[in-house]
Amino acid sequence: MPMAPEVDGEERRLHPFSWLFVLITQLREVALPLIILVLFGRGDWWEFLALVGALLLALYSLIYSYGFRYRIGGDELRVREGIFDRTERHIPFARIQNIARRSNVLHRAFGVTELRLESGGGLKPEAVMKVLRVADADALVALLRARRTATAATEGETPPPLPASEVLLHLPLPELVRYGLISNRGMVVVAGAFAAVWQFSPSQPRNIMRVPMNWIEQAFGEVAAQHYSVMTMALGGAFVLLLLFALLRLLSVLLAILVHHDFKLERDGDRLGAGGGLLTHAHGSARIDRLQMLHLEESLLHRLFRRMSLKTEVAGGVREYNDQSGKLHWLAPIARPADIDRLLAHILAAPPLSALPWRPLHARAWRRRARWPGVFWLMLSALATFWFGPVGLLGLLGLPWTVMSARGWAGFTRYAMDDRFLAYREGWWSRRHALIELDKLQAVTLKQSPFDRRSQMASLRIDSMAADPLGAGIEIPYLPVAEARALFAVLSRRCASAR
Amino acid sequence: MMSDEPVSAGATASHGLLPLHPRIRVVWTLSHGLAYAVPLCLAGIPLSVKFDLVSPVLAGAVAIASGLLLGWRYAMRYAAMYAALHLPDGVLIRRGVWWRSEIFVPRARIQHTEVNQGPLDRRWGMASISLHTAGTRLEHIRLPGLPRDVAERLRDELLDRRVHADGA
Repeated sequence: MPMAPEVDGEERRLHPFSWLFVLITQLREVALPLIILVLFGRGDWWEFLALVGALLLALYSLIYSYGFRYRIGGDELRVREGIFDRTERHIPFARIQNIARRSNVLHRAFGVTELRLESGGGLKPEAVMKVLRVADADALVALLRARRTATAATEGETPPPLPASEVLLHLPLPELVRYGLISNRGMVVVAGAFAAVWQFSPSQPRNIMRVPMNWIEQAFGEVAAQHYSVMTMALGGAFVLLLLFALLRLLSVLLAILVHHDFKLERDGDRLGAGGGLLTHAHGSARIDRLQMLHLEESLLHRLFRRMSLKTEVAGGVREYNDQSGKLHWLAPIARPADIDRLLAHILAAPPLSALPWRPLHARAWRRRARWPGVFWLMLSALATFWFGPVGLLGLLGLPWTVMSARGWAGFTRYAMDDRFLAYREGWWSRRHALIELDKLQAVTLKQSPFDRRSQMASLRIDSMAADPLGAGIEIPYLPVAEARALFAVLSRRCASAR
Repeated sequence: MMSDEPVSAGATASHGLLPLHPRIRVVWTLSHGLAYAVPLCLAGIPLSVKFDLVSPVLAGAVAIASGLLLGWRYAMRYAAMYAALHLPDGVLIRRGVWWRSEIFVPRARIQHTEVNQGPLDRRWGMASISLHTAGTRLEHIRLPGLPRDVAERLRDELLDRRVHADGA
């Protein structure tokens, strides 16, 4: 039941159809068990149970949506959730760091959007408004910005001017096609689908594999059936592989268009926003000073197309909220190197990548890099020779390859530090760069393995906010030990004195 | 605040080398000893049965004893290599025997600290302190084996009383 609004501010509610969207989210979480129940459950009993479950969820969604209120106070947003068990949260405007918006086809049909407000950390977003009319959401975002600026002004900080938002990057269709060709997301999707099918019935994949075989039989059947020559087999196999490859790439392109259609990176005062999408439109924004480490990727395909991709990590990202959509993540899914430099200069006032004072690793870094793969190839060829005779010596061909790739890797891998940034780049054919402002370091570690000690080397690792603990950050290996120590001292001093 | 000179155990927790409680060596010996003893037992007892050399009980006892001996040696090395320094602007930890690392956690980046005591710690007046930063790879750094009063003073001194800054 609606409560009488309190005195200050106007109490607002969600869109009347919000319950539908809450229900859908709820259903998605229990969808799999429900489907299994309905499909594999025998008799009406299970279907009845599923129905009861769905009804209960619908009831919950209705209650939740009608109980949700928000009110805009002088310097805070007040959110009330629940009818029986009621919580009221006060969120100071100054604490709202990241704003994420998401709207899928259904949202758009109703003219609504989902708004997520995140603060400095924690496990859950401060407020999830599911769902608001687009106009209301726009108004709320504008108001949040205006109020925050006002609060900042009263606190004596200089209020940043509010220029109209400016588009820093826009991806037209041809770029998206390139992105799709490079990213090869189709492969991931197909592999995932394959694994899922496998789980449900292990014999299915074989049946699926039989489909292209049948095509081939239909196409070349008469001849192939009579003359199974090596030539036909090889040609047929190559043809199938080529077809599969083309299909996967096509799928990737379609996926790229689906996810990043009309991608735009915009700067709006001190905020950066990015988003796109064909069916589901996701848009994330964050204050520029919340950006942490930037990741630049340049795979072999990227380099063939002369493109790079730029990602960011944003502080205050909500951990354990694995729905990345609608969070500021991509700054440029694909862009020319020159554009990347322009973006870096515009957003962080950073020098162009090539202008950073890159320094090499230890002169013998490539030997360390090649050692273990080298041992692997030696062992492999020894074992293969033992089992299969002299043919096993072919394994020794791995050695020159190892040396070549290690030298190539050491030739490109560098680190750079100027008075504002620490940067690291590594790779050979596929390359990556990572860049972080020195003020954003959280901790510095100097490490020495027994092998490092023997060859007078050390590695240096830094920690930052919002970094993926398992992903690639900045860990500079194989540094001369004196240089690593000096760098450790400088970085320690620098991050101790930062703000 | 105070001088940068190292101070001895029980003295005021000021900047300098943080003292190690003597009993931490016992804890390290037991924990590393256990880590050595388990695989030694797993290998030794079946071997003694298979080749009928000695009785399995004796083999187990020998395995545990040698595990503890190895653990004791390792703990002594670890303690000798270990150093935690409380510097004016943060904490520097050196640790590791084979794989060595030096970690610097700036004071300005410490979000909150936590003093932990297990049952043995309470009996021995020992405590460990956990430093939490906003980072993700090193968000939690534990300084073990501090005398309780040192841990508590360190906890108070490390907390940044200035305006909240998370380093973003």
